[in-house]
Amino acid sequence: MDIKLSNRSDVPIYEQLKNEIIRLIMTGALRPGDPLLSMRKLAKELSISIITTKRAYQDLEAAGYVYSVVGKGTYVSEQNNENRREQLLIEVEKKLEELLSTAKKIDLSTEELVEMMKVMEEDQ
Amino acid sequence: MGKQLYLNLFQSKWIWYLGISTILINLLMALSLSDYRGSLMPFINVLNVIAVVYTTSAYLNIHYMLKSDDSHYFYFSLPNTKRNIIRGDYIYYMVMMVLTAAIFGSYMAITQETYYLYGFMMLMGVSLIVMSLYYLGYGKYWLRYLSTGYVIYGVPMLMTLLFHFMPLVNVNQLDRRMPGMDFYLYELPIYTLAVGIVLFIISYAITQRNITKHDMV
Amino acid sequence: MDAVTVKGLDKNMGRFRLKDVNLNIRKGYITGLIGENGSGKSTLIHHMLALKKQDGGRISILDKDLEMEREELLNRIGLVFAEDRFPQNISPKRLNGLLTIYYNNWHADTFFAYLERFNVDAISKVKFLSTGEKVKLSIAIALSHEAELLILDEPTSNLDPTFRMELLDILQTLMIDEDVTILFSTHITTDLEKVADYIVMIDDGEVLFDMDKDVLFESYRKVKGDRQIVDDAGELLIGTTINALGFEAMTKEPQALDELYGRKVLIENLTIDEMMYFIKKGKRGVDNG
Repeated sequence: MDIKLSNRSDVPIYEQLKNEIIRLIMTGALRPGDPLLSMRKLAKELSISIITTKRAYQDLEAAGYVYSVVGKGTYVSEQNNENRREQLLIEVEKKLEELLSTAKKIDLSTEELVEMMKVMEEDQ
Repeated sequence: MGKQLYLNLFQSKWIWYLGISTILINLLMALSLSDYRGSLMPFINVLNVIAVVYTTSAYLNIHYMLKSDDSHYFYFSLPNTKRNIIRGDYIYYMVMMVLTAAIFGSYMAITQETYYLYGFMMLMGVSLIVMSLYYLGYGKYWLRYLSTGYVIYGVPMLMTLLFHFMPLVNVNQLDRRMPGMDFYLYELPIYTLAVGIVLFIISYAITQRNITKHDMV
Repeated sequence: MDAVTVKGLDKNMGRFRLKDVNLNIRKGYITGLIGENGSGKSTLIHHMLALKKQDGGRISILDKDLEMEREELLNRIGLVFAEDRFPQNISPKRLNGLLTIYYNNWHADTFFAYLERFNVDAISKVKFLSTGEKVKLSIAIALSHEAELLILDEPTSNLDPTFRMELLDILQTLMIDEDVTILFSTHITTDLEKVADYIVMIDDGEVLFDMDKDVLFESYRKVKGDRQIVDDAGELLIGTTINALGFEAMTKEPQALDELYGRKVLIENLTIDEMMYFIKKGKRGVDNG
């Protein structure tokens, strides 16, 4: 599992972890039925706390990305990948709408917004 | 009980070496027909006194060792119940008494005088009393107030050495017809020993009861 | 089941008191115990080992009464003490013999393997070892008898950074077993920031909080801004410190502050040290510069 977490980001670690795993699933690096590392092993690999990985795994399971089998571990669910992508696209659209309306309040132009996005991306 | 006993024996091995060497030296002296016996006796006497001091104060010496490097934090955190620790300590004391008896016995083999038996009983009686008194406070204070323990031990034992043991040994120079002398020298030790044993048992019972109520460190 | 349950612990030690301490150390997780020197961390730990006896309250370990099952429980607890409370006149090799008798599940092979890995000489007496080596010895002992509860009392203060990382690695590897619980008392908080699941803070003999670390640092944030805001925002700020550049404080309501003051305040993440600082400050009253 190729996961990169940043200590300096404003995004909480468990949130980053979730996003990374979703990314791996979306890009096919993790395929349906693949086992994820156990919570505890992952915590050790990433040098984070167990409770953080636990929360990430629980959220992922609630959202349907993974499922867990008692005594065996956590596995990637059958994804309806197109459906997933659709869902996430809709989320991105919603957030863009929010973003644009907030930006409008302080007269921030779209170009300035794009600049800001580029800078943030570099930081990540 | 076994764990604590082992620990005590382990920590007091130098006292064992001293005790056993003394016994062996005594026995050697007893068997030797050499002319040098007379001139060696003062050294033998000193050796025996030192050995007996160590064996009768062994319980204090072990506590001192525990306290001096704060290792009691470590040793008391090893798996054991507090009652077993006390039990081990009391049994250890009895083992030390046996060692002391062996030292006396081997010394008596040199001198062939049986009156040393009375000296032994008196010393053991007093030793039992002071040890019991020390442990009565132990349940509450554990290893604090060790110096008090040494004083409780040292003063009575020294008194006994000076005012009972020495007269006993020099009995020929004393006026045995002094009233009460026979009682003092030959009967008092038996009573003292009896009192000591009773106190030992009572002290054990009380200490066991109170042992879980106070800080160990 | 909790690994350690402390209920209503009271202890009067003259100048210092533990007051009504209630605490649960959760099984299978790493709990960090933080607090200044003298706050009561070590005393609390001594109570958990029945080395000290409480005036009031109860302690149970792995759901068993501590005093009654002391021998069995101490078998299952691995303890790392400060190095100056350790037998000096004995060699690790001799200690091994002793510990074989004391512990039900002592593994001499594991013990000597750790000693070798840590580069600690098994033959010299402890008094000839360096401070760091003594701590490593203590750690080796704690890891060699199948302990389910590891209690580490300031283990890293005298360790070089490389070994500290190695220790954290060892601890996290142990945690892969769900039955292992670790209680880590330290004032080197950077160790805890990464790996602790729960954080307990003790100050002046009282437990200030006992929380999930993630939740703790999501709820509490650092806030910086202009001085004028302090009077207005008063109650939302904890441990306010005023300096030439403005003010700094801790807050439980970062969203409220963000809504009220927008760009006039900067909301940042706290470190454990900063949190402790602001909490102590808050107890003493607001600093008006």
